[in-house]
Amino acid sequence: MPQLNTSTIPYIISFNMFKPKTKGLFIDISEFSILAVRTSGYKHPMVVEGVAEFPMTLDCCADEVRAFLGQFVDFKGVNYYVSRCGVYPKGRFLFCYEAESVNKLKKADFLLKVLQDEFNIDPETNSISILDGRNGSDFDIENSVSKQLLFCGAPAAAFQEAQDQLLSYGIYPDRLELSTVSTLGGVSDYARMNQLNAPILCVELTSECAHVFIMSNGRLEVARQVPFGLDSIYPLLQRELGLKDEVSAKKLFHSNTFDFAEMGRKLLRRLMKELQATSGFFEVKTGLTIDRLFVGVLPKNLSWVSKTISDSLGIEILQPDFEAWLESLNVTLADDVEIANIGPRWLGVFSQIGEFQLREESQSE
Amino acid sequence: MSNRQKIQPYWRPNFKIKSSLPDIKVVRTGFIVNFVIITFVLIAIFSLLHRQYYANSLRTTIDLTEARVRQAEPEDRLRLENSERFRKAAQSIEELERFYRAPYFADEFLINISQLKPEGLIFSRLSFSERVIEAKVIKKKTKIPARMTYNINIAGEVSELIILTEFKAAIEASPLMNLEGYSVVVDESIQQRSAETGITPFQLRISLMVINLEPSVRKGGQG
Repeated sequence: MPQLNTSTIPYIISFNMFKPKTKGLFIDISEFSILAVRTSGYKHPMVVEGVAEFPMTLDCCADEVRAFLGQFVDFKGVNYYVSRCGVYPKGRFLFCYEAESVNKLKKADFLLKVLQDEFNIDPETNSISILDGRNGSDFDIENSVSKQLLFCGAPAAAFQEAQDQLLSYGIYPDRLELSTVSTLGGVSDYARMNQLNAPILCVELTSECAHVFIMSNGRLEVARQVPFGLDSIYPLLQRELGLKDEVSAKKLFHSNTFDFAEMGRKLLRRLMKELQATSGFFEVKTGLTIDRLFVGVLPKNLSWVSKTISDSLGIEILQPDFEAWLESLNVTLADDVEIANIGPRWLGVFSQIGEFQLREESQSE
Repeated sequence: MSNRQKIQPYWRPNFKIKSSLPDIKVVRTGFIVNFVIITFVLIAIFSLLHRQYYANSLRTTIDLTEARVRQAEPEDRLRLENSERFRKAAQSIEELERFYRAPYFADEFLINISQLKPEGLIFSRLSFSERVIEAKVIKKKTKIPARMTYNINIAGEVSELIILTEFKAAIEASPLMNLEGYSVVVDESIQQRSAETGITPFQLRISLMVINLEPSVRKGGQG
């Protein structure tokens, strides 16, 4: 064991005094809530020192969010706190693409044409990232040998809006990630860690639209956008309950005062049709059976949605064991942090902490 | 290891729009750039002003010095003339000194000659004289420069002639008569012996003639 020379101790102390430890802050902002995780820093290994949630209401203002964050982390008198953020910008997209040959994917023009012709995405107005479909790494146009690609992104204006929103909260985004993608990365990594080889149906349901994904063996096999979301439920709810308008229905929907378990199937009928079609098509095509469901984003009071889908499709809800998963990613929990029952929706923000490529490297070694 | 650090995290593309983010550095880049530029400009201005001031100071000093030079020029010229006159005079004096240099001092000679004086011989008169032999030209070619001749006349009386002979020999053998740069001639003349006293008056004449104008020993003084 190395002996510490006592004469060096004052220097070590003074060195540490001048190098204050900056806490890491990971934020996941959806239309429903802000999920925040405070860590010991940004470098692994790290310790989760606290988790907090701020429910986003229609009338909440930036000062309230800033006050919430001010209580959660120490701004040290400065205007911004450097954070790593995940957002759900409007118009976000994620598409799977499999090319006929690797050589075709080495031409940038071809990739742009695919985006425009097959997915109707304008590269001029959208911020786009291309990932390797096999593992979610950045697509290397020159060296990659993968035929499977993932196109993801959102309109640049939507990212700008999300970034401006973060700045108004006093959050300086060191990273601005697409939560849809990072969450899927988390699901993929969690499945690999737990050797869940059967396909997993992932649903991201928001007000304007829904995204349906099927992951199998850690790969994204299906990505589909459904052009309606929770907003399509409110007229149904209004009719079912005889409410005076959709606004009242919306308020009731998001409140904790009503149990929707019984009428859940009616309310989600349209969505269920889409999910059944998508999962059925996949199962017929591949011969695989989807046996797990992951529903992210939705707040705790809408947990009946995943229960309804699960019951309707007859598949099990994925309930991640965050502690074990984070530990495998070299992230531990502080003694006073309890996350055993916080729900799957937190997988998005925890996915921002994980360095999934390290597991891939360790497995390949 | 370094490659590993450069790899973007899987499944986590970064869509941050850097251009629209505020500058949150504790000391902002703009401030540092401005500070460096202003400092550089100030240093340049200070350096320029310092050089100008130094150049002005030098110019003033040069003007003052030139004025002083102009002012001191007549006096300096006069001093140079005096110096030249003095140098010429000193040269003449040096030549005269060399010309008139005596082979020895009179008192020194008296002491030495007294020590040589034997018993039975007395001095009645001692005289020193010097004479300049003018320069002359022999056969229109060889020029003999002017030179000094020193004559010492000793008159006295001697009881026996043999004593005079011995005295003369002693003088000739003495270092007094072997001076470098001089030719020495000792002549004697004897008068008739007094019948009453038996004493014979005599006269010795010693001539020292300069044969070399460059003396080896400077003793100074004149005989």
